[in-house]
Amino acid sequence: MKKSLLSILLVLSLTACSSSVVEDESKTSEPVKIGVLLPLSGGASAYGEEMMMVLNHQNSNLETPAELYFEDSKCEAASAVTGFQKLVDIQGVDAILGGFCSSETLAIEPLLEQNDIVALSATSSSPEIEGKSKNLMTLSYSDNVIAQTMAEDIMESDSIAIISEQNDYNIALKNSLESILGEKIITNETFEKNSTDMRNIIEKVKASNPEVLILNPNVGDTSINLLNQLAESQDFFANVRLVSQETYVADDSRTQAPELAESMTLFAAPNLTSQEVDSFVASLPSTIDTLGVFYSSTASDALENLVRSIQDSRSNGTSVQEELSSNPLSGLASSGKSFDGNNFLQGIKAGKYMIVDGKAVLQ
Amino acid sequence: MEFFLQIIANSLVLGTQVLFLSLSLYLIKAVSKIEHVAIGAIATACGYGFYQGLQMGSNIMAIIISGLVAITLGYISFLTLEKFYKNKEPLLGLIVSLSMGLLIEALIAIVFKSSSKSLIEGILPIVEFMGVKFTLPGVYTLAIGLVLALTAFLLVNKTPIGRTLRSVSENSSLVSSLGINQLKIRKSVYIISSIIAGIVGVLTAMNTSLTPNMGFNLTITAFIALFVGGSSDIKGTIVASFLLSLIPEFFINYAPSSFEFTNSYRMFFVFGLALIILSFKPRGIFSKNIRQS
Repeated sequence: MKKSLLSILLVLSLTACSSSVVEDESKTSEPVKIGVLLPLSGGASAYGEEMMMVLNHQNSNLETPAELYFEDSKCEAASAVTGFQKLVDIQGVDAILGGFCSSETLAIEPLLEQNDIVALSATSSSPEIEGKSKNLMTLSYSDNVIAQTMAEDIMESDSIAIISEQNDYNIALKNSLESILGEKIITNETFEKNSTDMRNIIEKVKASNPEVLILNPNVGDTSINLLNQLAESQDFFANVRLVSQETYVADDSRTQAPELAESMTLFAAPNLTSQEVDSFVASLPSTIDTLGVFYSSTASDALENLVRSIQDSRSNGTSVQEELSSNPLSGLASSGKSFDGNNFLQGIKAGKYMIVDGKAVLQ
Repeated sequence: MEFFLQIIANSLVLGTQVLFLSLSLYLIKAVSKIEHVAIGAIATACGYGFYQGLQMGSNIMAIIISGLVAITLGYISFLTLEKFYKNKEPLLGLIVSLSMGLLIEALIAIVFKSSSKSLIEGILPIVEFMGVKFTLPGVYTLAIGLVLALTAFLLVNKTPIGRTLRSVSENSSLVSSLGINQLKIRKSVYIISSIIAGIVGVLTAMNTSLTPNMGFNLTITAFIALFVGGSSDIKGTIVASFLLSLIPEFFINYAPSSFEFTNSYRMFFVFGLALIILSFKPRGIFSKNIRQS
């Protein structure tokens, strides 16, 4: 009796062990599923489309390509949340690559821990991301870095005007600049997203007669409208130093007002120069004129590191978050850098550009 | 002083854009008692029609396409909303009109994508008058708007056409007994209103840029102007269109800097003004208080 009981127990335990091994094996052999939040419609869609191309290209180069699921986040918080829920609940993705705009990333942040999922953004730069959920990370520089570098450059001016668009990214940058520049800011105007007529704002700025005007719109239609309408007062703004951020790095954003944009100073993503980056850019099936080299590289890095972390976490039995946050990253812009327990990747600095002959030239 | 005049000039252009839509709303309401809020989307559709014509390389084609879009959508509006007039269900008509507007906007976004389009590439031509700068489309807006406002005012208040228009919705059986084809009048008003909206759609797009939801904010302000002015008072509608554009700009630009009013407060002031005016003058700014017995 004892013998038969022991043999039954032995058989049962062996079966249990073997089934768990089979289960683990099947889990590790399952393809990694990555949900990607990108603006595929709306004013920032040109960025989203280029990033989609970069991700598909990079994915095809991976040793074990992941399954990519794209959702249109429209650079809007509400659309990002809807997209996130579809990716997690319906597609059952292992991790999120995104959001793209800071407003998207901040909107999905409260959902990460409750869904036990990691989001790695390639582009979000709002300083508000720092200190948020440990499941949220971004490979971008923080806007504080841009604000600090920009402020140092214009600190000698005593009269500074700012025109900002009202959204998480631009307001965060505006707040950072306000805290650094203080009373040097003599006019501080904001306009709503999707505004098309900024002429009264421009008149207010002109009336304050600033030495420096910081243009702080978001990427897309509003930035083009703003520059066009400023150019209607070309005579006045020819004597004002124009300073801006990432928005005007893309050539398309300045083509309608090239004279006004000439000599504009931009504080944006650092310039990446290496043979590896050059060959990566050359291998892409189409151009990255809008997204630029830095964010194309961080997009590629985000995918590469997410896929590797998910594979490692499966084989090591750890969490994706632990794998990502505790190990140095690989890739084009992130190589050797790590999060060191922060939400932003450490050691990324801002680049200073100037528009010369219609091109953004690194200074 | 230059700043003050420039703000007035810019706000007058904005007010005239609102006026075009509020007049369209007024005319349709006068004959059918329905607030046809899809008129903003029709304006946008005409703007896109004009853009499409320009893409085909011809200004004439642009005018023809945008005109056809206006007439077609005006006729569709009539067909869609007529039964709500007949059934005396203006609220349902408003909801259907709102749905129609959103449908048109969504369709535009699908066909043309949501990124903005420019009807005039590069910097707009500027006209300077007494130190005040106007964009050329802004001048056209003001000039056409002035003619339109005067014509509409005289037509409605001083001619038999105006009396017929008002009586179509107020006493339709009497109008029929006089041998007037009220169906034809309503159909014509829907089409004419769409053409008026189409003109402002093209002019606004020239002055800024084309986006699928371009007409939305204008429609909201025009809708409020219709009620603030008094929905049966054309003079009130015209004045309210400018008031709701000028006053918020003065709050934004002349309030003490400690208030930190920016352009984002515009709609706050529009709704605030409407709330105050309608609380005291629920029948419109020029209405007389009637003692209820």
